[in-house]
Amino acid sequence: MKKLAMLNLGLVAATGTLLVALPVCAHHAVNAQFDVTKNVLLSGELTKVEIINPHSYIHFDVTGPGKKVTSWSIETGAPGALRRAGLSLRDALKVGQTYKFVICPSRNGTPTGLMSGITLPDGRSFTFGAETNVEAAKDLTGGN
Amino acid sequence: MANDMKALLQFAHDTWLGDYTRHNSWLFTLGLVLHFIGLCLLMGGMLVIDLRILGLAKRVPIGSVLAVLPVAIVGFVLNLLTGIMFFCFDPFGYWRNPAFNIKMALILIAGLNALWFTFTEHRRLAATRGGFNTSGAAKLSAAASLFLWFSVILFGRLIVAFQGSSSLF
Amino acid sequence: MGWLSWLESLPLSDWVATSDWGYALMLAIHSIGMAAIVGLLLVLDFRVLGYASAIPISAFRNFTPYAWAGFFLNLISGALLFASTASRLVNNWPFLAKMACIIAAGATTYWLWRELRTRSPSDFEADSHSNVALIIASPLAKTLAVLSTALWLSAIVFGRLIAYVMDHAILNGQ
Repeated sequence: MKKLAMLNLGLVAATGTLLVALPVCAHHAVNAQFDVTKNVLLSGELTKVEIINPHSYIHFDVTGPGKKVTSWSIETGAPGALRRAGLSLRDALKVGQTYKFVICPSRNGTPTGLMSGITLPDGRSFTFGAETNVEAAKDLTGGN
Repeated sequence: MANDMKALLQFAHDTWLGDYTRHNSWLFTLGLVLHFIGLCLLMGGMLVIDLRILGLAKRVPIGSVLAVLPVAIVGFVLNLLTGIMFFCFDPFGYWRNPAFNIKMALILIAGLNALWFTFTEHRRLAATRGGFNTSGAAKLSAAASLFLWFSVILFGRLIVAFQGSSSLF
Repeated sequence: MGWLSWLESLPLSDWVATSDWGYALMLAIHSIGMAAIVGLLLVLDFRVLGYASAIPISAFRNFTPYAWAGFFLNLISGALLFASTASRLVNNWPFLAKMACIIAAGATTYWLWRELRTRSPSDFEADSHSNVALIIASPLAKTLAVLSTALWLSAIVFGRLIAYVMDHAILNGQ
């Protein structure tokens, strides 16, 4: 009887810990946090695009000084934001072409971030995201 | 937007809760976990009560099944508190989100429905101590309750589809 | 793996993966199903642990179709959600943990129900009119109820983490 009671207590404690600790730890580990107050302009060649829900992902190579290539991976906002801005990722993005991206970089310093603006090879520009950085993104893309 | 509303939203934005959640996104994640658990508690309770009122498990007195109501209330309160936290995270964003507005309206209607039930049927059942039958009006209220709360879940899930910026899933 | 890519290439999978509404709708259905099955089973667990003891435990027998409905809603919406990003999900540790929890929770619930029936078979008879007989669940049943609650809640926690870990994996080149 006492063993069962101890077992039950253990289960409750384990679940409680799981409930609280796991989201906290997992969230610290993943860089879902972007610095939405910063905007960085990058120009790169598209290597891969994954159009999936809830966010799509764009991978591109940036050639820096001394021909050093950095591979960037950025995620887009919710599909609604892209749609409202008039951008169809499927039509606009072609592997091998060069695009200008405005991104909010990840806080952890890796070459990853959140896309807040994009300029296509034909010159069209799109901005999306929080209102606070749409204006900044517009300046950087020099767009509409 | 009316200045009063703007001021109210700004107030919510500037609370300690809003600030803290924006700077510690793990809290948002934890809040979502609790929000989902809350909704299970709410719906578990509502399903048992409303289905019984609609005629399921007739051998159980209505009064007995209402003993499960606190489970639903705990679920609701949990979601109210986590909901306030989410709102303070980005009040302006939620305010202009159509799915969020519809969700709030549905909760209000569900609440009024619950109040109506409390002051009519619940009272009657408490007075008769162990009734087994429910009136047509009570059945309608129970059906509406289930429809409304499941709709709340639906529109809650549509909020993200209408969001503009970096949503935290 | 070939079959995972094949799953992702299905029109229905593509719709869930890329359309605004497909994904949101699947998640809405998934949440509704979760509310039904986890909600009802949590109430059963609480009853077994002694809460709301005025309700005969066997009365929950009448609610099982609704719990099953929730389960099947989630099986279908879950299958579609899985198919939409299958190749990424098989490497997603929260997803795998969630599946393990659900299988374990299902087994626990089955075991619990069997324990309850064994202890008081007459009360579970289809034509039982016992609305006064209140069962006090056995210690084993109570332990199973706690385990069941722990597993269902864990499934919810892991479910919430799937998207975060997938996001992290994609952004970091995995």
